[in-house]
Amino acid sequence: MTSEHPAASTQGLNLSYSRRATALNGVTVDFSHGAITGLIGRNGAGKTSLLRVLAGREPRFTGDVQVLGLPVRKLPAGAVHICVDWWPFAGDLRITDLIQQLRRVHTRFDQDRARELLDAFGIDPRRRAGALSRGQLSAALTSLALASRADLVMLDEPHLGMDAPSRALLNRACVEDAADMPGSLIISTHLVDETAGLFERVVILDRGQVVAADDVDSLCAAYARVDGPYDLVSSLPTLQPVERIGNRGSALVARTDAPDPHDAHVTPVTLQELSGALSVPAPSTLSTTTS
Amino acid sequence: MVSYSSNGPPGFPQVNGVEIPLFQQVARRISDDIVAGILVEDAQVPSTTEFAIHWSINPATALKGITQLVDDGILYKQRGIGMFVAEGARERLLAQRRTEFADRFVHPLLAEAGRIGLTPTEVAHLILKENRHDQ
Repeated sequence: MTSEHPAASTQGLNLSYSRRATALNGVTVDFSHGAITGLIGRNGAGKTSLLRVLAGREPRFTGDVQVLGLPVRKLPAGAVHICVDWWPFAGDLRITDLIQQLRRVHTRFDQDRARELLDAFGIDPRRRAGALSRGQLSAALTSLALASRADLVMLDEPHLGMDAPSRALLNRACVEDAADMPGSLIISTHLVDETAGLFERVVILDRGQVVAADDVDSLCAAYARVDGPYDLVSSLPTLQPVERIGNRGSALVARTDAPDPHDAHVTPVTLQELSGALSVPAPSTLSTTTS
Repeated sequence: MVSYSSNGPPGFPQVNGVEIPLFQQVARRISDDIVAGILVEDAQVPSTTEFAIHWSINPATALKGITQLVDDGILYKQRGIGMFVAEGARERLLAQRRTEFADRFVHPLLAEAGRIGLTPTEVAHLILKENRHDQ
């Protein structure tokens, strides 16, 4: 590990859109330099909000946010690229128009790589954005994001709308770039089973809070699935309510809380299972008072 | 209860489900090929990058797996050229797997036999009988 600063680093990041809509709550997390980091969480967990803050597009936050070693408000243009899943301009613009725009902002934009990726996805760059399907648009925007060669590239749910072969192609493209290029990549997704192998580290968000930030292997090794007699399983500090069938129960627990393997089946956990199970307790309904 | 079988890509080798981390699965994949004689001594092994791209896994993970094999004396690196199978690698792997054999295969076999009421002697007979069938 070099002594370079993290790709991004937050301390006590809070973001509220209104008195009752808190998007991010005390987020303190690092995104490693030169790594592919997964940002995982359910819809509404705060992934997009966090990425927008890191991209310098959301100024309404409090707390400390550093990106590429600088306070985010001081980021130069072109240092960071965030790819969202909607077309930011009029629908009659062509992909080539967006390429020209991006080349102005990102001085290292790699046109050859952009064309190579668009070609692999079967997208003609002369087409108008409005004429593309959702999946094709995602693929096009993601291709250009990777080709931007920004120091930090963030993809916000790039897999949305893409068919399975395209998703596989995208994953491969991310790995190819990671192997060849310096630069950091953050990918937010809820397609964890297809992407888990991509990530060096993952950050899991729930209700605007970080519930895990670790490398995938260490994180999964810290938990286990327990299957056994319902009474035994429900006596454990399970991450979620025990799933019951007959008088058997199944649940995830921390490895240190797992029972003796003679009393129940104790098996490993995948990132997909874990991402759904790690959560922040829902706020009590008593505490939401109307204004 | 939804159950997913692996953090690795589809088709990626698993050892007893997903009991071992992804980087160890990488090491296993290469070791399997050496044990099977597909990769012979001094044969070149795909690079970390090639491996990562082929399986769409993080290059750091691929590197960790390959590094483990280097540390175990299974692979060696020729700077600027690539990674190669070390002398005696297959023998070393066979020795390793023989010691693991009891844990990985014999214990589960006897456990299941016990559950269904087969004695170890009956299991031994079955093994010999099935072996004759297969020949």
